[in-house]
Amino acid sequence: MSKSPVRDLIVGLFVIAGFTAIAYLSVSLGGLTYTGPGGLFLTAKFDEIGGLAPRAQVVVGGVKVGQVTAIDLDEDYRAEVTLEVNGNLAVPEDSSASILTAGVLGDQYIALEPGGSDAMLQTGDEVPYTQSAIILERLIGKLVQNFGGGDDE
Amino acid sequence: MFRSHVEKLGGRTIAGISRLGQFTTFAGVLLDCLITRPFRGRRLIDEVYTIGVLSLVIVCISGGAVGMVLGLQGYTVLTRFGAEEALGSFVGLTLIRELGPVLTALLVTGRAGSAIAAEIGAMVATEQLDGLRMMSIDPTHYVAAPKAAAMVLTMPLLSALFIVCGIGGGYVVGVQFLGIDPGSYLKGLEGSIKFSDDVMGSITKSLVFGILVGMISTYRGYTSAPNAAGVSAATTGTVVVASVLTLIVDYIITALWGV
Amino acid sequence: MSMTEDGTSLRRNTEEVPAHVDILNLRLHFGDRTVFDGLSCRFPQGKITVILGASGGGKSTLLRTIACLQQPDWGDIWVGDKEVTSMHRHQAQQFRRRIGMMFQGGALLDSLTVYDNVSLPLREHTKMTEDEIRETVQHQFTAVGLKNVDQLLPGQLSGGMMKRAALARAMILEPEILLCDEPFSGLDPLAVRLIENLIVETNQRTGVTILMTSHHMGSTMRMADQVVFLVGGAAICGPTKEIQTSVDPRIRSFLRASGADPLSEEELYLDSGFPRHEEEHS
Repeated sequence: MSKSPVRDLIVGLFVIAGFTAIAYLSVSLGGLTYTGPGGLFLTAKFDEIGGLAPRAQVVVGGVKVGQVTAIDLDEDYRAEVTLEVNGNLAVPEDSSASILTAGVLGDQYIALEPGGSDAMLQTGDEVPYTQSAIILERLIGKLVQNFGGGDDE
Repeated sequence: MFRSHVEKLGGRTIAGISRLGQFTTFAGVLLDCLITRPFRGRRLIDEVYTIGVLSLVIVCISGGAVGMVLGLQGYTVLTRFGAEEALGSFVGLTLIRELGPVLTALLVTGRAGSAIAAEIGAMVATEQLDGLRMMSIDPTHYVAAPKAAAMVLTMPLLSALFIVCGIGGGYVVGVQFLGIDPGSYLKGLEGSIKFSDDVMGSITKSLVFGILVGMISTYRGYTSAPNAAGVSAATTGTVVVASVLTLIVDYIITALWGV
Repeated sequence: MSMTEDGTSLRRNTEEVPAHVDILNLRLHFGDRTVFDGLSCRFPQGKITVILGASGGGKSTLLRTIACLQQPDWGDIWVGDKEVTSMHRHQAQQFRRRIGMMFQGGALLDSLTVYDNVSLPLREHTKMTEDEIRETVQHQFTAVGLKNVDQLLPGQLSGGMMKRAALARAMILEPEILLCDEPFSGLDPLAVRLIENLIVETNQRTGVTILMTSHHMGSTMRMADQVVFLVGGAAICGPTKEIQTSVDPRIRSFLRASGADPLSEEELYLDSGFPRHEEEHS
């Protein structure tokens, strides 16, 4: 019953340390991001997304600005990717999205290329220009085809 | 001869079922106590101190040691494939998904779970629980509930600290001793660990283990025979049952939800 | 009720004072062992009743049953106008506020200081301020003769101080009934006298009904208004004087063995070879 300030302080420090550890694991390592309630949700349609997966990074000029939240198939059998980017980032209307690969065999991510328009995309809008993933196997396949039998075309 | 065996089996079954019923009743009363006023903040802080703070040192040292072992073992295996850069993700994933929650639960069972059972058992033996009852204080509310609650609260915190110490241990071995590039170690960690699967799964596991250890240790103490042998049986029983159940439940969670 | 010829007269005597606790036809078994076999007795209001009997004869169990810590198999216990044995968990908890219990080993919480132990019921059940609590506890400490123990842990107390602290905690909510389980166990003769006086003094000061178990015959004879004698799962009760001179052979043999039988004092004196203490006669 009697209060012991030192013990309370130690318990407080312990709890803070514990939550800091959880926060470190979640945010710094787990990639949990808080984009605020004003997070900007955009969609982009691709013919081919390769190995892109939810929580893949979204970057602008190599700087991480958000992540992929969902991947669905639309009625035209195209992949519809939902991106969540920082709410305070303005994305011009004529921007483009490309699926790129980090290194030769690394993870795939989406690079946003901002356009020059003055009008900005709002939540729910679609990024108009997209470039699909490059599938290494197909490239090699094409290369072999071209060298081997040029009589196809 | 055969009949006596059947009788024995029947007796055991009935005893087991009645214990299970007793445990369920206890768990119900415990839950009831957690939501009934008054809220015993002071008792909870004291218990977080004895369970959490006093287990901190062994948890951190063990975490660091486990991380260092993982660093060494992982390096040996990964160099065979020329994939030393994956050491970060190897150490991180192993700790977060399995070793962190499980080993923390085992350590806390040994350090704090046994102490809870022994303390409550000794209170039964010295009539302290009856003393509380005579003061119109429900001993489950005053003694057991804060202990169980503190166990549930501290388990994820201790587990997270274990994991961080382990990642630090792996870093020391991998980067300082074995010369892996620090950037690729951290990059491996960040790239492979997903919040919604790995970190949430880890926290869920440690919460479940906290509930398990908290309930078993208070129950065993509470129902111990009022003598020295009873206290010792409660302590041993807690460590054995809680450890085995932790491992079994860990498998079940992993199998069902893949975390 | 197992009553001898003089038992009937005893009964009339106890009925002069209204009963505070009335036990009717109590039965209790632990496995094969019968503890109470149709036990009936009454404890008069505001008096000190000592429960005597052989070890393992159910003295402590009787107190625990009255305190609702032990459920009997059969029988009723009336405390005032409340029936105890049929109470539920919460009712029992509420009811126990009217009863203080002094446990054999003190039963103080060993993680709390003596002050915190004694003030615990006040913190739990009253809305007193810190100052009022301090004052009430200090007053209680003075009443039981405890000084400078506030910050000690129960483990640091001597046997006598432990009993005093236990009494202080039992009395802090001013109960109407005080149950004392073996208040003299583990005490030296001097400490026994001091605790004895303290209990009698508490009874006279507050008018609390006291039920205590003991096998200390000397003090029983000095302080008891009524004696309840547990034998074979039943009770024989009556005023101290009449129990002392009872001709029931079971009581006689118990008294003789305890060395408190006034009828055979000479014999005992010669047998033991020790001069008897003056105080044992007073």
